[in-house]
Amino acid sequence: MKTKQEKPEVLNRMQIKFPALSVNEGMARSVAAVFISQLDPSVTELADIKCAVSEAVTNCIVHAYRDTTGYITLTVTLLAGRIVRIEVKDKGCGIRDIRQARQPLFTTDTGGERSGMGFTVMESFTDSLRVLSKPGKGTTVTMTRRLSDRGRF
Amino acid sequence: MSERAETVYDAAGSTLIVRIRGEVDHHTAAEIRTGIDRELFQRRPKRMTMDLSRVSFMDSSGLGLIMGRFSVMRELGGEMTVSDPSPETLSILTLAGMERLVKIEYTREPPARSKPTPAGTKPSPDGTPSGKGRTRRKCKPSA
Ligand SMILES: Nc1ncnc2c1ncn2[C@@H]1O[C@H](COP(=O)(O)OP(=O)(O)OP(=O)(O)O)[C@@H](O)[C@H]1O
Ligand SMILES: [Mg+2]
Repeated sequence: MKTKQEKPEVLNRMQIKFPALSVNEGMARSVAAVFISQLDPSVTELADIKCAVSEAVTNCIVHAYRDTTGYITLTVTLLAGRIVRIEVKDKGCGIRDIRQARQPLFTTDTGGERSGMGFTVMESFTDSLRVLSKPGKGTTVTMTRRLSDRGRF
Repeated sequence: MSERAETVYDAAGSTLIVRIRGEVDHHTAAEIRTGIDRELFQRRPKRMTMDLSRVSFMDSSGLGLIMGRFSVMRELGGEMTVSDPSPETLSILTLAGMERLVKIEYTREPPARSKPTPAGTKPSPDGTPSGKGRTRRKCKPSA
């Protein structure tokens, strides 16, 4: 697990923990957006990140804690080089087959009008997506996005 | 109950226009869906147009909402279109290839700097709006 690879310097970080209630979906993406705003992202970058956060948080509420309740932890880290790292963690049911779950259109919630596009959205709207999960233990989704320089000098 | 999204209905002949305003996510989609379905089963329109010009946020729950209403309209023997997607909805609609399921039409100016897609035609294969340099712009009110 441990590598000698140099890690980018952490410039700032925030973490919030909240119960898996759908009313918190809008709060979570807004809080992330406000925090990231200190890097002066473009409107599109901010919109993409908000959508990715919303997908990850919604999955915790809809899937991870489907039959239970629990907490979601959202961590946003700003790294040197205008890199934003977002981690969404739950202690819910976990994902048995991550590869399958990440396929476009795949959903286990066939009765609930889900499109099965959540992971595809996260992948497309960020630069990298990592999913760690253990059935019965929970899931951690980590996404990074490098913000453009937009004429910065 | 939810102040983050609002749905307004307009009838134009045998077409029901559903104008959604605000944020469409898993939380708000439930209420929007119940409202639309109630109207659909009461009015049984030949056509339903979902106006997305004033949607300020939409995630995959919105895709599910559209796909679900598409099924309901088909069940009722009618058809459905999406009109004037805002820049905030266009990127996810394009990503999902929604234009293959429902016609996306522009009754006013298309969102800033993205390629206009004439109703009923498929955008070019790489017509994905990368969003680079895209600017937020409110659609001009019609009329
Ligand atoms: N945090 C999680 N805990 C447990 N299972 C999950 C979690 N996130 C995703 N999954 C599983 O992965 C599947 C795919 O997730 P994805 O977000 O791509 O689609 P979806 O949530 O089913 O539909 P949509 O996001 O389009 O509404 C889910 O149906 C679910 O089975
Ligand atoms: Mg999902």
